[in-house]
Amino acid sequence: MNEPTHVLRPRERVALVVLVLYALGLAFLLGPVIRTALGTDAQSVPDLAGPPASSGPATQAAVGAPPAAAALAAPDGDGAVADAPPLPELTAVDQARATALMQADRHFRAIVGDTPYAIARVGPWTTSNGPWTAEKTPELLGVSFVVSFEKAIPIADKTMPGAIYDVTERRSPPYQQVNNRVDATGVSNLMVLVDLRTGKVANISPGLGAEVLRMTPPPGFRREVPNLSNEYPNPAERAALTGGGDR
Amino acid sequence: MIRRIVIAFVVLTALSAIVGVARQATAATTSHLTLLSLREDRWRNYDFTEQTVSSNRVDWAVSLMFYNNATINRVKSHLGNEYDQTGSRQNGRLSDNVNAGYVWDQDGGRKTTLCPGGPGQPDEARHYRIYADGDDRLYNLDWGYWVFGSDHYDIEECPGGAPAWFGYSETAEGWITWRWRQNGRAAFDDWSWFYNPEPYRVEGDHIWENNGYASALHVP
Repeated sequence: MNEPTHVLRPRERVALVVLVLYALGLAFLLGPVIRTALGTDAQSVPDLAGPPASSGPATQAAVGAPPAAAALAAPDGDGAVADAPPLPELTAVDQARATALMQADRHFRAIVGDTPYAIARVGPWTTSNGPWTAEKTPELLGVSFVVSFEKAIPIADKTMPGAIYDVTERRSPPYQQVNNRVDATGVSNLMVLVDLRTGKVANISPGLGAEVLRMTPPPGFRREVPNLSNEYPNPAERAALTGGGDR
Repeated sequence: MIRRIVIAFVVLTALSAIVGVARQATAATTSHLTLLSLREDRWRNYDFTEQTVSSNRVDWAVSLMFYNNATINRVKSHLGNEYDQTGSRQNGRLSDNVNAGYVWDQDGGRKTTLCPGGPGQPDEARHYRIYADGDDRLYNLDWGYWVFGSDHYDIEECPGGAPAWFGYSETAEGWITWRWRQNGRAAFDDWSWFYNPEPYRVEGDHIWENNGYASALHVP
């Protein structure tokens, strides 16, 4: 006795094709999530400020020694560059004063608490040279620190002063101050800017690798610093936008 | 169906808005701008915010060199699994044959996040730009077909109450060589002195940090 052969009707065929496409789409969408959950996603990047010290396949066997290095050249018709403006440097007094201001700042103290920290970087914070300003010698605003922790810390509902920089540098000081409420995890370092002109900590930001869960300005905050965007890449348009861009 | 089209339109519009508000760092100043050479090739050791060779209009230090069989597209394709978004254009200055003169090349590069700090996006993006002349590659006998580039982070770039910062090139460079190796290619960290050391300093919203050595990345 012959088994009756089931032939798919047109509607069933369509339904089958839709189901297969749906399954493929689902696999495509959920694949990365599943691989990440299983820890088998080779493309995932560790949540660290810097890359792992060594990873990936050995390189020497693949290509041999690295190629010959570059050298400094004479201008060769591309024109010598005029002497660069001298960049401001920090004095020991600047640095000591800024360190004291940072350590006395109530927001900094509230964020750091009893956690031991080290000053990993220190350098000048200066004005800039940009498409929206005249060419000039940068002026010293203050001191920039990177403060690092041995172990990453969380930041829970803390006030962090922020300096939203005015690239036209028409404001004085050239940034808008805002006190944000911040939640963050994995904070292994902070970037702190101390304005030596005002004698205040102008900015505290979670450093590289931190995950900022919330950064909320106070109620009624209005951004006053112009948002000059990439939509105006032409310098002439930039000048028109900023009225010439001179300070 | 009409409802679906409207939803798709709204999503695309929102994405366009995010693209439109991504900013670029203000330009910056260096005291280490110079011209580098190998055989007949010449290139500047910084890229520029305008097509002007000026110490007051630099963007970032050149710290990447892709060699052997490189083109701009090959490099971007190979890093495309992580660096899959585009950024604002800047300018590289170079000559593939010094006797034939110099040219500018513009590149927006690739970054890991379209609009860092924007809704639903990470706070940081790593961003590189690559330069070459008209055929998207340079050539000399030592390096074969090659291209060069700069790199940096964009932090909280999308506007709002959070201050935006740009920089940390040295760390961004380390991530690119790491990704290059993870993708199965060879890379040599800090391979050659490029005469552009920038000790830690902050210029406006521009965070300088570069050790002056460029990394070499092999393109098979």
